[in-house]
Amino acid sequence: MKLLSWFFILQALSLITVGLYQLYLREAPARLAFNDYKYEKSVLTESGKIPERVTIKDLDIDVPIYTAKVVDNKWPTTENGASYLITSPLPGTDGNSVMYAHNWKSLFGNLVNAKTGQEVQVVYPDKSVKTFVISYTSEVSPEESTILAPSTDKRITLYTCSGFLDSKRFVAVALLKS
Amino acid sequence: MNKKSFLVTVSGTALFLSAALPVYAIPVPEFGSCLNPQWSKTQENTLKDPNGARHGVIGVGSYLGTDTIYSSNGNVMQCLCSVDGNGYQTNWLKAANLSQDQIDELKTKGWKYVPYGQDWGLHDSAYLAKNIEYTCAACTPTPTPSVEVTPTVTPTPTVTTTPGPTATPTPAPKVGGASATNTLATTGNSLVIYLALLAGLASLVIGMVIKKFSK
Repeated sequence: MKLLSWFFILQALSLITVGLYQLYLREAPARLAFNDYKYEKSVLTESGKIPERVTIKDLDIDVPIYTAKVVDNKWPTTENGASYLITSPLPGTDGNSVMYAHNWKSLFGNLVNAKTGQEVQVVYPDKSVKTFVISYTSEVSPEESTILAPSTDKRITLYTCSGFLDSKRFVAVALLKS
Repeated sequence: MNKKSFLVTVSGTALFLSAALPVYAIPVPEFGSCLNPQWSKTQENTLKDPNGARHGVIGVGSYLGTDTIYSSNGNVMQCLCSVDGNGYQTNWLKAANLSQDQIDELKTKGWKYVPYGQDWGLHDSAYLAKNIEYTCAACTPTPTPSVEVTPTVTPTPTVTTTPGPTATPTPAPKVGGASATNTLATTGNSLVIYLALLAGLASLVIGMVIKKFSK
């Protein structure tokens, strides 16, 4: 009985530690870094255009876009919308545009239900719209950062957390609709 | 719990955890993902005829679709997008320079040992293979040309194994992206957080109650 009680107490400590750690990650996301991130030239300084919203009607996703820039190897996130990595190309231009958001229902929670063929729309302040079609989805490990690497096509990579204790990343890659 | 039993518990836990760590340093390269391949494309082949040959996926089956091969330093990444939209990424790790201990270690991690790479269109070498599933935009199969399709014999699909790194690599200029990163940011799932905390508190209460009644 004594051993059993200690088993439960140790299990409790483990679970509480995991929970508090996850809470820390949630509440202090800016501390989460992409290790060895090499800063690239900001596209905003070139174009002055910032995409305003990202929508996936089939998944009831319609959130504002906030810019994110990695500073001191910290990867900022927002609780109010999707983060657009401004060191990746503007959506609709050549290359791989990267957006990510929490897996909350109000943000990218439904992204894990993404299917190929569904449309992703990025709205610009002048109300122009770039439409992308989801071409790939996958659940990858956090180390699989090549999904954020440059590409030769015009694509947008959306991702959020998935899996046990957010140990995976669900990724949807959409190519610009021709 | 006295000091001695506490030390035994802690050291036992540490021993258990250390057993879970890899014993051998295994040089597995970063294959990347079929979602955004970074290696040189060496081959691409589309098979769409339902009555024709199919692409093989080791340990899974054979499929119609587009098979694209990427390679680097003798290692091969096979990306098969089947006509039904299921994607199969097979990482082929050249095992020629691996010790038996390393091979055994990788096998415990889900890698399949393939003694003869030629059987799969690869080099004359042993390989280790691992599959990863994804979804992709399906290519359309070729419609069946004849209305009177009467397969008298159970069709035995000729599986074409096409991950051969033979063609000229065609690296293309890459634009944009967020390269040179090692991990993806985590985003925090509130449900999991609260469940973990609740389960922890419940477990703590149970443990304390048992401890109290065991006195």
